[in-house]
Parts: sequence; C-alpha cells; structure tokens
Amino acid sequence: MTIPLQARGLRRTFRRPLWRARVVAIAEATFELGEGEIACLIGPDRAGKTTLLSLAAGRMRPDAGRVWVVGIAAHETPARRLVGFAPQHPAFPAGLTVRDVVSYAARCHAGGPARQALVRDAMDLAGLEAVGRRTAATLPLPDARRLLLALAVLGERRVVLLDEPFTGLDAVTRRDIGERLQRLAAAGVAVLLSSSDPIGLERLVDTVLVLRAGRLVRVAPASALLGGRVLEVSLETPPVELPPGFRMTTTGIETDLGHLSAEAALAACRAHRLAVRGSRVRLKTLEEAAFDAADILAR
Amino acid sequence: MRCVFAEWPLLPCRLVRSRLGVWLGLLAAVLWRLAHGVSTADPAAIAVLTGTLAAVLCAAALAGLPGDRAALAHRLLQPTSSLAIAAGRWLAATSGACAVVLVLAASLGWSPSGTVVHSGAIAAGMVAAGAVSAVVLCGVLVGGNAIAVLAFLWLLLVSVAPPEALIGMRHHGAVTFTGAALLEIGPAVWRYRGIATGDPGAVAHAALWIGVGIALATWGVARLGARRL
Repeated sequence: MTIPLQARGLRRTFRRPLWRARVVAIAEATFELGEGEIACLIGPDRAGKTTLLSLAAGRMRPDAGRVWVVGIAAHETPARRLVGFAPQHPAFPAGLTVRDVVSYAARCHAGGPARQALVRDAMDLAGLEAVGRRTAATLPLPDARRLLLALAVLGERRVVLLDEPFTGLDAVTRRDIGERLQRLAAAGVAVLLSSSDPIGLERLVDTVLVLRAGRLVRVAPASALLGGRVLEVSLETPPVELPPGFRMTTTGIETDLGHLSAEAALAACRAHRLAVRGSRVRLKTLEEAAFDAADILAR
Repeated sequence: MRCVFAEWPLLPCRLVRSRLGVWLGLLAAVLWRLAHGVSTADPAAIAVLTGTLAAVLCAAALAGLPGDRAALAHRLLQPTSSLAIAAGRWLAATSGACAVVLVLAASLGWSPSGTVVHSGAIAAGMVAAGAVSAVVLCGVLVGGNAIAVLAFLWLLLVSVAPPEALIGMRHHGAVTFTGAALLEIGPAVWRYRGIATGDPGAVAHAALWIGVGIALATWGVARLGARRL
C-alpha cells in the first residue's frame, strides 16, 4: 500500500535582498502520513508551518529532500489531483457565488454529470448548502474557511493540507469543521493541518508534529504526548516559596506529575506550609505538550 | 484542454454580475452611432476598433481585478497550469470581444460593397480582438487595470493613425518617435484594418502578438501564483 504523504530530509531557504544571508524556513523535516490519519503541525508564528505545507502541496520545490504524494513527486502535475491545500487567507474570484467557485474549481477535475457530483459532494462535506448562492468574495470568515475546505477536498484527493483552518473561528464552527475532518479521514483521506493555537485539537488529531524554527523537533502520536498528568492546586494565599517542580498559574500552582502520585505532590505543598483550597488532576493539553516538546517553557 | 475551457465560465459570470456587460453595451452603442453618423466610416476600421476596445474591457474584467489576481494563487492549487489559465482567460476575453463585433456587425448590416468586405471586416475585428486581448491580459496581470486604461486610450486615440502620421508631424521628438515605434511594433487599429482586405502581414503580426501575449500572460500567472498564501 502506498503511503499518502511522505517527506524526507526537507530543507528550504529563501533569498533576501541586498546579498544578505538566506533565511532558513525549513532546516530539516522528515515525516509521513498514513491513510485516514489526522496530523497537526504545531509551532509558533514564523516556525515554518506554511512553508512546510506549501512544500507538501508541491507549490514550492525544496532545496534538498523530496516529498511524495501517493508515490508521486509532489511538484508533478498528477500529484495535484491527489493533494488539496486550503491556505490560511481566503481569496476568491470577484462576483462568483459559492456554488460558482466550487463549480469553477471542479471543472479542472471532471466534466458533465461527474462534475456536478463533485460539486455536490464537496459542498455537502464542507457544509455549504445554506450559503451556495452567496457571493464568495464577501463571505464571513467561518463560511470562507468552509469554502476553502470544499475546494481542498474536491475530486479524488488522498491528502488534504489545511493551513490554520481554525484561526478566527468560534467554538461551534471549530467543532463542526473538526467533525467534518473526522468524516473525511474516516473515508481514508490523510489530513495535515497546521495551527499556532492548538487549543481544543486534542480530540481531533492522531499525530502531532512540533515545528520549531524550521525544524521538526517531535513527531509523535497524540496519545503519547497527551498522556502526562498535571496536578493543579488552588491556594488561599500566594506562596512565599514554590515547592520543587511547581510553577505559578493564575489560580495557584501546578506541576507535571510524571511518575509521582498526587498525594506525594500535595504532601510537598503541605511541607511548604501552603494554604491549599483545593486540587485536581487533569491530563496535559495539546498546547502544553507542544510547549514541552519545543522546550519553549524552559526558555 | 479541459483546464483551458474551465476558465471560460468566468465570462458569462462577469457579463451578468459585473459592469462588463454595461461597458460592452455602451461601447457597441457608441460605435454603432459613430458608424451611422459618419457616412465615410470604414466598416473594417469600425470592426477593428470594436474588437480591440472590447478585448481591453474583457481582459480587464477577467484578470485585472485585485481579487482575481489574488485568487490566481488559489486557482493553481487545482490540477491546472499557468499556461492553461492564461490560454483560457485569453479565449474567454477574445470570445467576449468577438461577440461584440458580431452583434455590431449584425445591427449595422454592413454590406455596401458586398459580402466580401462584410465578412472581411468581421474577421479583422475578431483577429484584432485576439491580439489585443493577449497583450492586455499580460499587461493587467503584471500591472492591474491601470494598464487596461492606458491600453484603451492608446487604442482609441493613437493607434487609429499609422506611424507615418506621427513621424510626419512638424514638431517631433523622442516622444513622437517612441509613439511611432509603438504603433509600428504593437497591436494597432491602423494595421489590423488591412486584415479585411487580406493583408498577410497584418495577420502574421496579430498571430505573433497572440503567441507572445499568451506566453507573457503565462509568466504573469505563474508569478502571481507563486505569491505567499
């Protein structure tokens, strides 16, 4: 079985004006995506997420390394039928309705009744039926994101790349689009999405790719990253001195439990004469896991 | 070829949902009035002027809007190519301009000297539309609709006269010389009038500009398509 998306040893630099040193956007990236897998590319702004997605979509050629989409080099034209890319910033031709835009894109994939079916399926998957007659260029952001998704899933796409698909969306739309992505993955499509704000993605993603300064520092199953437990302790009064391994939060202090039991950690709090009001153990969020992986907190 | 024809539906959308239809209607009405009001009006010149000016309007409406230029990078995410997009937009712009030429010809019923002149004038208008839409298409892809405005004024006010008319002016300098050179090299109404009488040089000139224009428009599409998304 051919792997939907494979990237090996990617490196990409950009030229700067006036003979200044080239900017390294991607220093090293190696990863692969399986059928029906949803992966999330996490990293701060300017980490190289969009560049990595552009390389995977075949929009850019890497300086070194290769990307294959179902065994075909990503920059070759046949690969573009298999990989869909929804950019972060929407831009649609002026004056066209939502249905026109989808139909206009579908013309590159098929003709006649097959095209009508493609349009119907894509609009259904993205949840665009209600806004089909609205002008695409003036859509509000949530609907524009849905339209970008519809364009990305058109045709026989085996890989769908989404750049910041949840940025600027309300919680209801985030959840709805997340469920639609799960439906897409259930059909065997590999999904790679990027996010600089991974809050709430824990339930969606199978794999997490942590990108820092153009380097993939961690590629791991979400379950492995999110397995850690955190003890949150709320205090009556601010602590004079923190117990070892604890850090301040807005409501009190917290620590990564690791192999330690909650009772042992609370005993450490009592030993430091902290006025504990309450405590709870929770699992790590994707954001915390990403921070840990990228070692950003330590900086 | 499917990707080339995929660009064509933009034309009916723009005719109905933008001002393109109104502008083309106004253009046809003004030229119809001109052809009726001036007894010495040359049908070939009117047809070529109609074709070239309509081609400018169509090319501007199909590729010159800021939103359309920004959307080209998104368009290239579909399984198409820069060449297919450029050729498709050229085809759409040319067919829009040709339709205006045909409508005007039908409403005027030019046939004082017989069918040959009539069909020749229409052919001249259509070929001129093809050459001008290719050139203006690459212009608007690079410089936006400001280029289309300049091209419209140039074709309407200057290109009706041959370069000899500029060179023959009493006070001529670098500007008139440059203008004459542009009239000689670029698409112009005075040259494409000859197509009506079967001038092979004019046909070859138009064919060359169609090829060069589409090649440059392909480069323009690729350049806009490579923008950061």
